[in-house]
Amino acid sequence: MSIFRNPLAAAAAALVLSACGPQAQQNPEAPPAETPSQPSPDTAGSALPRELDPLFAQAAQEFNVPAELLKAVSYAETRWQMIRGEAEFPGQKPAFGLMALRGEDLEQGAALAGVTVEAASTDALSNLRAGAARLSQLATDVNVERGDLAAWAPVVARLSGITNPEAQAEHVHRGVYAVINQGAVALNQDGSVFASLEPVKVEAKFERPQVRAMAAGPDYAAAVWRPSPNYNARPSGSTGDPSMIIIHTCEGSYSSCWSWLTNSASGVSAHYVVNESGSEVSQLVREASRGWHIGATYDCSLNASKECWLNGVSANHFTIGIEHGGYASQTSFPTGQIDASAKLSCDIARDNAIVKDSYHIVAHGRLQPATRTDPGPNWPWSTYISKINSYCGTTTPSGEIIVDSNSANNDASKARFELTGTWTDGYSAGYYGSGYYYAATEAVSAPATFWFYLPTAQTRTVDAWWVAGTNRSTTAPFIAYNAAGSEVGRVSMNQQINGGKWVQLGTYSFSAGWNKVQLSRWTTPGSVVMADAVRVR
Amino acid sequence: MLGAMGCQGRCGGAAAVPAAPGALSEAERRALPGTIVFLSERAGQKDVWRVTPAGEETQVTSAPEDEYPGPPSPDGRTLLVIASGEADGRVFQQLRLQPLAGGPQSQVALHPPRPRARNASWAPDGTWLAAESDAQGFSDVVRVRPQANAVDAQLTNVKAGCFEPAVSPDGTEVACVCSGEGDPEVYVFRADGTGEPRRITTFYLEDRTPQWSPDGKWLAFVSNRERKERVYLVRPDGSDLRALSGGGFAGDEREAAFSPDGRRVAYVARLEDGKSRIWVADVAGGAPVALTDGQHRDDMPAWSPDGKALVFVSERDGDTDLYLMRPDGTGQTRLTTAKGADWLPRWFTPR
Repeated sequence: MSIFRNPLAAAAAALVLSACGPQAQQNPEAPPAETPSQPSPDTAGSALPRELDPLFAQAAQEFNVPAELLKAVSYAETRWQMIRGEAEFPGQKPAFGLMALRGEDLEQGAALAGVTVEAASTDALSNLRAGAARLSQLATDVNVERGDLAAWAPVVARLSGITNPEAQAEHVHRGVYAVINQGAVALNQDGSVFASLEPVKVEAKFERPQVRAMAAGPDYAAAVWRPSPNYNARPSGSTGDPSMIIIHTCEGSYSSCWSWLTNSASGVSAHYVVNESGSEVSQLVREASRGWHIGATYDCSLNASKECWLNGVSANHFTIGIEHGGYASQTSFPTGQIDASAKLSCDIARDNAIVKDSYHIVAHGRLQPATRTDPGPNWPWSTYISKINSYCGTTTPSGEIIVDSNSANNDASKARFELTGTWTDGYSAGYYGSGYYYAATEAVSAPATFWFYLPTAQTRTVDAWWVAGTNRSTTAPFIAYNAAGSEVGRVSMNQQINGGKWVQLGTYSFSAGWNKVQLSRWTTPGSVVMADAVRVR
Repeated sequence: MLGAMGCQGRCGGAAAVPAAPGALSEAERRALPGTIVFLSERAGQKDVWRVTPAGEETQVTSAPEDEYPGPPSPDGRTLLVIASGEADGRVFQQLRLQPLAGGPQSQVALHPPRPRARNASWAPDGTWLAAESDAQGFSDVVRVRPQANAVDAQLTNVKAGCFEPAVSPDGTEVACVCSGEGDPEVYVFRADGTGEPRRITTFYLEDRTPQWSPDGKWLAFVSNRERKERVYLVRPDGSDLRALSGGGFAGDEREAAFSPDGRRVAYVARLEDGKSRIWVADVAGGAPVALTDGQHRDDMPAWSPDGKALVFVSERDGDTDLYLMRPDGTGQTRLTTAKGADWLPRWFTPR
């Protein structure tokens, strides 16, 4: 936990600056992703204290609201982070602070607590006091028995701003009251307690979510299908062919997000919404349909056929949108949410043949930099992209292993490179990865070894890569061994030709464990053998 | 490793001297050449401003839409500006020329607004620019003349897109990134559009953001091939690829900037908690040296035209502002002070 930051248009950097990477991003882990944050001087006091519990206690006591309730609402809304909301959907007011107060609730709460709206938005204690004051006022309105934690449920539903009854029930039972029943603890980086909520057994006095069997999403079986009316057909031709995935944050909680995006009055949608913990994903729009998740929806047929040159370039035409419960100003995202989203992105990319790189899986803020920054500078881009690739079996066919002659390039859990004897670094153009090694042919047993790990016995095809040249051996011996060290095949390759591409060595039966392919130098003297990279597929 | 071990006495700037080092003197600042254009949000929107090393500020653009500073023209008379806005629910970007001698009214738009137009790079003779465009496909690298309503000439035609062009110092080639084989790889295209592109990198992870050294003998790029973001150098024929920071990796690297003499590269390494630190490494090799102390967020280093100073962005004083320092990290001096973020510095000699 640390003080919140106001992300600048992270995307903006990428947009202009030749020196920036593909996401704004960057970078947090995303690199490009990173542009400086701008802590507002006025919010200096909002530097979160190292312990929130006393603040919750103070606000709860002052306004006669159960502290457990205050903590649970804050946790469900923001994960106890001091967020600075941004507009994500037209018609929805941005949320602020630990309590994610927005619009009327923020203004009323601030007035009741005797603080300015600015303070209630940016100062931790003021925000909690405003939230408690507003909860208290709503409780008075509906005559809540204040000592009965369960009786506060309708007030929780009211404060959420959610109007869809099903989403209200989800928010109350699976959000706020689930936190009360399970408890929660957040630690500072040094391990001291930042905020804590002891579990309290309580059943919210509120209608439960429907127990009907939820239908799976049409494109992603792990999703709950909550169809939104807010979509239309993609245009025919290449501009309607999904080629990018857009990552958004809801600027609010999961339940409020899918509720809003399935409301016909909102006029917006996304194909998917991933909840904060990653335990649930909703699909709202079919991937084949055009969602309304990015603010560029021009269709000249709706506008007297004016400016038709803009047709076919609306970002909604060729993108699939994923919303995430949370805020662009978050300092971090839950691991479970990133995992669930990466699995979803892998599935989308595979089904739509979308390239799984940082140019095709991009921030909302990158494509709409004028008005959006989500998912913000702290979205872990490089982790996210590599998880997608990992769930999809790296980049290409699943289970493929590449062993590069530069060990730094290898995933040490399944590939490593080893030299015996004296080999020389080579850096001529055309190698795989970063450079290669070569050695003169002679009658010595001093091979280059490409190790690869297989969890089970498998028959695999092996390819090799080298930089061709006239001094190369025409009989470079590649020998394959299983994990027991038994030879399973060998072949001589002419390294004077077929440089700079994968060349098939053969198909062999390997065993479970660390198998290897060796390049021997024991062949006709007077030339060199080139150890660059081996691919196992 | 260097970072983890406390620089081993190699750090410049504040890390080497516990107390804040002395700021640059007025005389030293006045002796620095050129002007620094930057993005400022002091007016609540994004405009381009310029500031001299001595601190004299001038507003350059003031249109209601956001305007980002792009690269200055080689003759130093014109700044490329990328405008970005939203009108009637439509998001647009637009490349514009801003004559530095003229007021905001003298801007020239190169093309109608479109969803994406960015990452422009000037040819050395100033007669054309390379840029990313989605006017004809998902993302192409195009050549465009610096004049109103110029017609794009496509340099690339790859369905999965090409990105981030950089024109070579001699103007004959354009390095960029293309995703044709499922992941981004660096390619070099002939600037006249003839011939086959030359593939520079081959690896199944991401290689991005190529930049030419001033002498054209190296390309720097960022790759996650070691499963971390790192700056690499490679010859423009694809040989001699190596990590810039050698054994001195200290966190995900980005924002590489060649010194004007091409012998050094300043870059940023990411730390915990969103902090970041500026380093400099010799192109010839050797351990990188930290220029800032890692206690703050320090980003976006840019060299002065004479290589005797760097401008960078820092949040150390609570706001996002520009700072100056010597290339050894000493003399760290706040340059802008207006409330509101100042960032994206570009330092050049105007005419």
